[in-house]
Amino acid sequence: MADVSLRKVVKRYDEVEAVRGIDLDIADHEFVVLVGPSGCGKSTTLRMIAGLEDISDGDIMIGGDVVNDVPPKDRDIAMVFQNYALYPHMTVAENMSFGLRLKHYPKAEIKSRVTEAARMLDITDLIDRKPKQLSGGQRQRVAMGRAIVRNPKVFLFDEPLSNLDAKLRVQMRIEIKKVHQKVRTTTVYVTHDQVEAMTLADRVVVMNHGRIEQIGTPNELYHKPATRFVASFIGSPAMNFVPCRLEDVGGKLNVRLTDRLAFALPPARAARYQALSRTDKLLLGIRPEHVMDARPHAEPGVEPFDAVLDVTEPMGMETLVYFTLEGTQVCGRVSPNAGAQDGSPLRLAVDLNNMHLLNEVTGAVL
Amino acid sequence: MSTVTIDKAGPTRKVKYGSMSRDRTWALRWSYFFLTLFAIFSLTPPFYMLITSLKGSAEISAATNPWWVHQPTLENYVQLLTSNQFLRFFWNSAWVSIIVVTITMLISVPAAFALARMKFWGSATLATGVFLTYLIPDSLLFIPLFKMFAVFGDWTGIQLVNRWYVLLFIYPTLTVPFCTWIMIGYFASIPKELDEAAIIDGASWFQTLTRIFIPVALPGLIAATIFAFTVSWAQFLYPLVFTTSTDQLVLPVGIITTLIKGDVFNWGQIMTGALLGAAPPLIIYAFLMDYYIAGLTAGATKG
Repeated sequence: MADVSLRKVVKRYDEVEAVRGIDLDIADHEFVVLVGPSGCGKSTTLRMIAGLEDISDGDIMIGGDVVNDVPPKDRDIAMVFQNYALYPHMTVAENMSFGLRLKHYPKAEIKSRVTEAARMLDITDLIDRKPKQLSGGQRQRVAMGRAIVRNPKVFLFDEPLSNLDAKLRVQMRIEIKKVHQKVRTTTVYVTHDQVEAMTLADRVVVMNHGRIEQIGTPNELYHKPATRFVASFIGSPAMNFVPCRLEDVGGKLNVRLTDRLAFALPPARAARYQALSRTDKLLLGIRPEHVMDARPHAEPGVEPFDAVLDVTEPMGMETLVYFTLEGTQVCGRVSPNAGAQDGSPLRLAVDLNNMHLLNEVTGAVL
Repeated sequence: MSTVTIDKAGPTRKVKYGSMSRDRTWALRWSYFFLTLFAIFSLTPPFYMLITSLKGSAEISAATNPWWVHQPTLENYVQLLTSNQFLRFFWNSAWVSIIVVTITMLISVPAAFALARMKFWGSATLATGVFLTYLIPDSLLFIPLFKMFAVFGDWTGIQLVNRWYVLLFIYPTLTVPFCTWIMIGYFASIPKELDEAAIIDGASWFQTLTRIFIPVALPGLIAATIFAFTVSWAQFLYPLVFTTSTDQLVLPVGIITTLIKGDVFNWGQIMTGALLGAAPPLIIYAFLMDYYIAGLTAGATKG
């Protein structure tokens, strides 16, 4: 058990900077997920923590000790790989005990640890099989078992669920969460799947172009994104961004989307955006669930408007509706009973209490 | 309910049912034709050897049908297998081959592992260099090599020329580069994560090699072993040049130098000796064929 710290960590491959100065503090017992699109440097960061990649600059600390030049085997970490990386010629038990056998643990100790881990992961029956006799999900459990028996300071997961089918992925996600609740080992988990990131993490680190865009709890990232990248990356369907500008009408602050469509801001929002320039090019960021079917009674800050739907997607518990505002496609979520149909008009409402305003040029959330 | 009209005209072109299997049939016929041709071509010499080895010297020189044995005899086999000389050649060959295979594996497996996995400065160039060495023919090397061993003998007083064990130094120049090359290909096909997992599990490079790579790459290892054995068993030029005394000869050279006296060719025994000499690699192939093929093709699928 230990905390992990990264100080201005840089990774350069010849000319390319894959990781551009990362500062990150991971507390003991914490489950941190690094998430971002492919090529954002998240896997490289993980591999630097593991010691599989040298760091070009900066410091990495595990349990307070700088481990920059410590080889992987002396860092007391365990890693789970995307393609499982099980030793094909060894049985499940041998795979799990390999690390312990190398360190010459007593046989009884090895046996009890393997049995305990197998029980925890529900693979007791498979203990004498070879990896090729196992399904993808079972292999991933063995890979986790191999990490657990080592009882390391830190668990590292490198996209462990990417090779599994959708259903199994959900199941293993829950499994990983359960394991972490039991063993409480500090965990760094890399994924490109924002749902995995949101559901597993104590804190999520969103990365893009080798930099950290934002660090926060899943709810913070969802409700208070710092940049347009985070706002669009977290949440599915993604947040809508509609070009807009602010204008004063009769002493009230309005946000104008099109020549015919403008909304009065609720008082709290108006106060927050009062100081902004009226000529700045802005984006209205609004999540699909805040573009809903208009209710009969008025609510403060919820403004109704009419839209002609392009496409509707019935999902069962809700229907996703798509319409166009000045060339920008907008997605909303309405009740399945709202009568949404492809090509027909519908009375919608936008909840401005949950809106975001972004600078169109810098992408910063204002 | 709307009415559905079906266009009865359909496609005008006649569909050739089973055209796929007809293509396949023809492909198979051609394959078998050429395979048969190739089998006849490559099996005729050993068959002729077998026929001749079963003939007495009178029948060999008689003008009868050379493809048939009229009076089969095991006389040639008995003579060869009871001659100390022939058994001596056999033992020399066996010892040389076994030791060369061992030396080759001890050098080329760690070398291949280092070149395939421990990315160090110049490792890629070195790997290509290893292969290029293999391309230099022995007919180009035997004179300078002979000179080197002769000079070495003059300087140190350790005489290596005309000793069977000189071959232990020479054969690896043929086997090590090729076996290293095979093993590089095989090791490269093992996923990178496997050694990373081993390293994180606490294995040293040596332990990764012995406990992960060698067991996983066993088919490749066996293929390389068979290759090294065959090369050293069948090598002719180097032993012809480096060994001359009868008790130092290996099988291929021994047969030629002792069974051809001037212009007298003892055909029956030459054929018998060659056949017996071909037996050990044949037996080894038969047992390890599946491994051999798996080993040779494994490196090919993934670069």
